[in-house]
Amino acid sequence: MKLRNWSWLAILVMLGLVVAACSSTAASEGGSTIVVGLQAEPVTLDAQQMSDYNSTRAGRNIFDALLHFKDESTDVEPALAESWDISPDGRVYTFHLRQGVKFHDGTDFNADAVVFSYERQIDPNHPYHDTGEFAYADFTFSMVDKIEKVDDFTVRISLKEPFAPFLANMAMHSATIVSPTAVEKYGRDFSKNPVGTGPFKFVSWTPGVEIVLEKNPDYWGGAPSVDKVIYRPIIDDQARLNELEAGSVDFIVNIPPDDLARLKADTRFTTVEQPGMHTWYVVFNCQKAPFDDVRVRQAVNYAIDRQAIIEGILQNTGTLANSPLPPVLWSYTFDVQSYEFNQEKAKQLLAEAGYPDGLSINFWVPTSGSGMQQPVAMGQAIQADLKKVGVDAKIETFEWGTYLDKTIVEDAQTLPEIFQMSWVGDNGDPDNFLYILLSGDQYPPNGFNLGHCKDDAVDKILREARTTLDQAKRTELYVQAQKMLVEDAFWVPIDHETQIVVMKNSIKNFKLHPTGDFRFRDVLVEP
Amino acid sequence: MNNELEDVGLLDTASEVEGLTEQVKTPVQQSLFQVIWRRLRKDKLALLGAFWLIFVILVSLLAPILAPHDPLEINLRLRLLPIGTPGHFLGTDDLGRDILSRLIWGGRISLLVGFSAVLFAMTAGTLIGLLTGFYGGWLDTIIMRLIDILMAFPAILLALAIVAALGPGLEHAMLAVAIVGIPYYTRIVRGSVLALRELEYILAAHALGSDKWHIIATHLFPNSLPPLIIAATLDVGWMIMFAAGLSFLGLGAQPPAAEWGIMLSEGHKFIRLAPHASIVPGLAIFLVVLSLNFLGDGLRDALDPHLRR
Repeated sequence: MKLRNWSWLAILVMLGLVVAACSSTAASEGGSTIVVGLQAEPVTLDAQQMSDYNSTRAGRNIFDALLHFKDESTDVEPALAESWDISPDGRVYTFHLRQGVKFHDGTDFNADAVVFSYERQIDPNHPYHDTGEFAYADFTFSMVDKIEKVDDFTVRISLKEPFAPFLANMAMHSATIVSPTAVEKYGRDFSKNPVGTGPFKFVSWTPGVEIVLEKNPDYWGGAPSVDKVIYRPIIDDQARLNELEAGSVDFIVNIPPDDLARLKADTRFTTVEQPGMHTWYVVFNCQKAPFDDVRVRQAVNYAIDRQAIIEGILQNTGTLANSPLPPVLWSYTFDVQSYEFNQEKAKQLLAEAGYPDGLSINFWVPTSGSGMQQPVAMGQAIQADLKKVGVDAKIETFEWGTYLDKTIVEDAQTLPEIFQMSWVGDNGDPDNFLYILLSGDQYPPNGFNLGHCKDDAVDKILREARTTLDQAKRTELYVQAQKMLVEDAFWVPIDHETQIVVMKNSIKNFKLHPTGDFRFRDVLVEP
Repeated sequence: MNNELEDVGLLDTASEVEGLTEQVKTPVQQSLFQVIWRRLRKDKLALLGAFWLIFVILVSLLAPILAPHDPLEINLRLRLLPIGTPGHFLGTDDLGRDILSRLIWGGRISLLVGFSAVLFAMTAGTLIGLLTGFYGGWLDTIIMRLIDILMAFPAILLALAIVAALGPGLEHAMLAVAIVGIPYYTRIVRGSVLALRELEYILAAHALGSDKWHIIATHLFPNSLPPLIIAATLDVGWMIMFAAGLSFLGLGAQPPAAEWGIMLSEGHKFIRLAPHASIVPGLAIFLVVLSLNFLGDGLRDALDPHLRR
C-alpha cells in the first residue's frame, strides 16, 4: 500500500478535524459543566431501583426523598416533607409535605405521588409494581404496615412495630419520590427516562458514552449554580486518570492508590477525602466445612497481615478494620477481640480444629467492582498469607456483574469456602451493617448475609436493637453485638476505605457524603 | 539449476511410485526436510526466530534452575522496584514479586498454551478436513457448514462464550483457543485433499485396490503436510497472543499464576510508576510471536514449490 503525498495531507487534515471535533465536546464548553468519570456504566437511573455506586452517583441528583441526609452526615433534615410527627408509641409517622413543588415533567408533587412511590415498590398487586426490580424495598419498607394519604399534603405511615432506623430509611435512595405520570408513561423504561423533583433534570443517556443532567432552575431548595453535569463511564482506572490529566474529564473516582501522591502534589487538581462508611471483608461460607468451625475462621483471621495490605497495596487509602462496623458509625467500639497478625496462633487453631496438615479451599475474587478497591491484588496477598499457614486457597476471578449473581444466592452449597465482598452504608445506622449483613434473618434474597452465618444470641440482640427507640440502649446493644460477632468471626474484615475523589481545582465547594452520593447542588465552577 | 523445483517435484513423482509399489516412504520424507533446511538456513530472519524460540524453550524448561526467586513469593514491602535493583534484575511487580522469575516461569505456560492449543486444533482440524475432503457429499456439506458457522463468529467472541460456559481458568482458555482454531486447519487440509484426490496416483491407488484409510493415511495426509506446517507455525504465535489476551481479560490463567498475559494485565495498572512491570511481559510476548512469524514465513518460502530464489 503506497500513499501519495497528497493522501498523507488528506489524512492529516482529517485527523485534525477529528481532534477539533473531539475537543469541542470536551469539558470546557459554554456554561459551567462538570464531566465526571465514573467507574462503570450506571445500571439504572430510577433511584428506587438502585443498588450500586455508579447509579446513585449519577442518578440520585434527579430525585428527592421526604427527608434528606445533611451534608457530610447521616443526620436527617426536612426535604419534600417539611415536618413530621411521631406517635408516642413510635408506630405512626405523619409527614407534612412541602407545597408548590413540581416534578421535572411539570406535574405536581403531592401525597398521591408519595403513596404511589412507596406502593409501587412494596405492593405486588400495584399496577406499576412490574416496572422495576426493587432490591432495597424489603430493607426500607419491611416494617411498614400501611401508607395512607390524609389530605393532599399529608401522608401517614403506620409501622408493624417500632422501628428505630425508620426516619433514616426515609432519606435513602429507595425512599425517593418519582413522578407517577412519568412512570405511567414510560413503564419499565422509566429507569432510562427518570423524572423526579431533584436539583438536576435528566437530559439524555447514551449507553456506554454519557449521561447528561442539566440544572433544575425551579428547584425548591434553590437552583444549582452548575448548568450541566455529564457522567462518563470509564472502566479502566488508568484510562480515567489519563482523561483527568488530559483535561477531558473534570472529576474522577477510584484513583489508583499508587498514583494518589502524584495527583495530590499537582496544583491543577483538588483532592477531597473523607473516612468512608465502608468495610471490605472476606466472607466465610458457614454452611460448609471447614468454615462451619469457628476455630478455622479465627485461624484465618490471625493468618492475614492486614496492615501490610493497607500500607502496601492500598497505600493507606483505608484504615484497619477490627469490626464489621466502620468507625464513623455511632456505637462503633474498639473494645473487641483483636486478631493481630499471628501465624503461629493460626496454625495452632487449625491443628486444634483437626487440620494440622493444612487444607485446600476455593477463593472467589471479582476483577473489579464498586467498593472493592484492588480485589485481585488483595486476593493474592491474602492467598500468600494463607499459604504460609498451610491453607491452599485457589483463586477464581469473575467480572463484577457475574460475581454478584454468583455470590448473592439462596443455596450456600453453590458458594466457595471464602470470597470477597464490601459494603457501603446506606443510611448511617448500624442496623444497615450488622442486621442486613450478619443476621440469620437476612440470608439472600431477604438481605445480604452472603456467607449464611448465624448466631442466635446475636440475632436476638440485633432484632431488639432495631425495634428499640432509645439511642443509648441501642448503642449498648450494638456494642454487645459487635463483640460477639468479632468472636464468631463470620468475616475477615480487612479495611475501611477512605472516600477519595480528585477534581480540577476550578470546582469549588464539593463535599463528599458518607453514603458515597455525589451532590452537585452547591458546587461552583470557577471560570 | 532447477534443482530445488525438482526436489519438490520429486515428492509427487515419488508418491506416485510409492502408490504403485507401496514402498520408499522414508526417503521422500527425508528429502522434504532436507529441502526445508537447505532453504531455511539461507533465511536469516527465520533462523533468528528459530534460535530465539529454542532459547525461550530452553529457559522455560530450566525455570527451576534459572529463576532467582519463587515466582509467587509476595513481599508487600518491596513493591514496584525498578529494573536493575540488586537481587531483582528486572524489578518487582505490585505485590513485590520478582519479575524476572515470573517471566521465566511464565514462558512455560505461554509456550505450553500456544503449542498444545495448536496441536489440538491441528489434530481435530486435520481429521475433519481429511474426512470431509475425501468423502465429500453430504458429510462434507454438513460439516463444512458447521465449520462456516464457527468461522463466522469473531474468534474472541467465540472464545469468550466458551470460557463463559466452562468457567475461567487456564485449561478452559486453552480449550477455547484450540476450538477457535479448528476451522482454520479444516479448511487448509480439505483444500489440499480436494486437489490431491483427483490426481492420477490417487486414482491409481484406488484402482489397485488400496483401502480408503490407507490412501488417506499414506497419500493424502503426508501430502497436505507442507501447508499445515506453515499454518501451525504462524498459528502458535497467534494462539499465544490470544491466550494472553484471555488472561488479560481475567478469563485465562488465574492469579497468582506467573503467566505473561496476567503479568501484562496486572502491570498495566502501574504503567506510570513502574512501566517495566507491563513492558517486560509485553516484550516477551512480542518477541516470541515475532520469531514464530519469522520462522513461519521462512518455512512458507522454503516449502513453496513456485518460489525461486
